[in-house]
Amino acid sequence: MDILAAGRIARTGLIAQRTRLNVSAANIANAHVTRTLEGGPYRAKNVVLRAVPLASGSPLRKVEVYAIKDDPSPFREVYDPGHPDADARGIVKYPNVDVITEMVELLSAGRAYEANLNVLTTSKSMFLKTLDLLK
Amino acid sequence: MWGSLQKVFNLGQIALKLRSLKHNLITSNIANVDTPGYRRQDIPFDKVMQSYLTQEKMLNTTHPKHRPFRTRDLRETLSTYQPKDLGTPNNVSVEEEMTAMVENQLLYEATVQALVKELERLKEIISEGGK
Amino acid sequence: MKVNPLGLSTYQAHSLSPRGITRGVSSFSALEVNKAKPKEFFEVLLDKVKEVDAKEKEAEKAILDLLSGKEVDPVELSMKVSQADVSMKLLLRLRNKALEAYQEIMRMQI
Repeated sequence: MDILAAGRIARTGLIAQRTRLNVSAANIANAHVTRTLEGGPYRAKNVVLRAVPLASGSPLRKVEVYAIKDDPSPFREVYDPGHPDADARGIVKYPNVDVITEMVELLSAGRAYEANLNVLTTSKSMFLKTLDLLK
Repeated sequence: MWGSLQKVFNLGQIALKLRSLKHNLITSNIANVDTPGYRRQDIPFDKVMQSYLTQEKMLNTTHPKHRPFRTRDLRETLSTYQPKDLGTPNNVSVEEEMTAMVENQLLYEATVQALVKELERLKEIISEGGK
Repeated sequence: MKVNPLGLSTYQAHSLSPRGITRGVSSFSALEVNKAKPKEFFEVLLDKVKEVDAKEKEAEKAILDLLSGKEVDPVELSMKVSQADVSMKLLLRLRNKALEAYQEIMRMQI
C-alpha cells in the first residue's frame, strides 16, 4: 500500500477519461452521418466504466472501460423527401447524437483527466519528500 | 530522552502509512469520478490515530517492538464508508477530492519534514556529544 | 561634570530632591538586597538546561499533535521546533566550550 499504487490507479483514470474523450469526439464528428457502412445512420456510442479492485481484498479501486455500448435511444427523424437517404415516407433518420451533451462530456472528461494528472504530480512530490528521510 | 524520540518515530511511521492509505483512497475516488454506482471511500485520519493512541495506552507498550500497524485493522473503519448499494448515483465530487488530496499531501510532507528534523537533531547530538 | 557616586542614572540622581529622596533611599536599599545573592555558575547552567528541556517538550508536543492529526498551526510548529533545535545546539556549543576551558585548566602546571 505504498504511494506508487496511486500512480497505477491514476493511469487507469487517464486511460478511461481519454476513452470518453475519444468516443465523444467520434460522436460529434459523426453527428450528421445518415448512412454508414452497416447501413442506417450513425448510432451514438457511450462508454461504460467500472470500478475494479487494484488487488484482491484491497479497498483501492482502479477504473476500467467495461464496454463501449451503442446508445439505444431512437434516431432523430426529419421530414426531408429531397434527401438521398430519405425513406419511402420522405423521412431521413439522423444520428441520436445530442451535440450539447457530447460537448459537456468533453469538458467533464477533460477536467477529470486533469485531476488524474494532478494525482500523479502529487504522488511524485510525496514520494520524493519521503526520500528526504534518507538524506 | 531516547524513549520520547522512539515514540515520535514510531508514531510518525504510522502517521505516514495512514496518510499514504488516505492518499490512495482519494486517488481511487478521483479515478472513479464518472463510474456509475461508485461511492467515495476515505478514512477519518484523526479518529484512527486517536484510537491507535488509546489502544497503545491500554497495552502499555513502551518497547520498540510495537504491534505492527496492519491495514486489516482499518477494515472496520472503511466499511462504514462503503454502503453496498450500487446503482445509486456516484457521489464523488472532483473538487472535494482535489482539496482533500492537497490537504493530505501537505500534512504528509509536514510529517516527513518533522521526522527529518528529529533525525537531524539526533545526528547533531551524537556528533556534538562525542566531542 | 556631575559625579555620580552611587552609579544611579541621571534621572535617579535628580530625584534626590527633598521629595524624591525617600524614593531614592528605598531604591538604594533595593539595590543592596539584589547584590546579596549572586547565582552560582552551576545553577545558571542547570537553569539553562531546564529551559532547553522545556522548549524540547513543547516542540515534541507540537510534533505529536501534527502526527495525530490535530489542528496544527504550521507557523507555531515551525517556531517551536526551530527554537528547541537552536537552543539545544547553543547549549551543546556552550557545554563544549566549558569542557575545553576545564581541560585547559587541568593541563595547567601549578
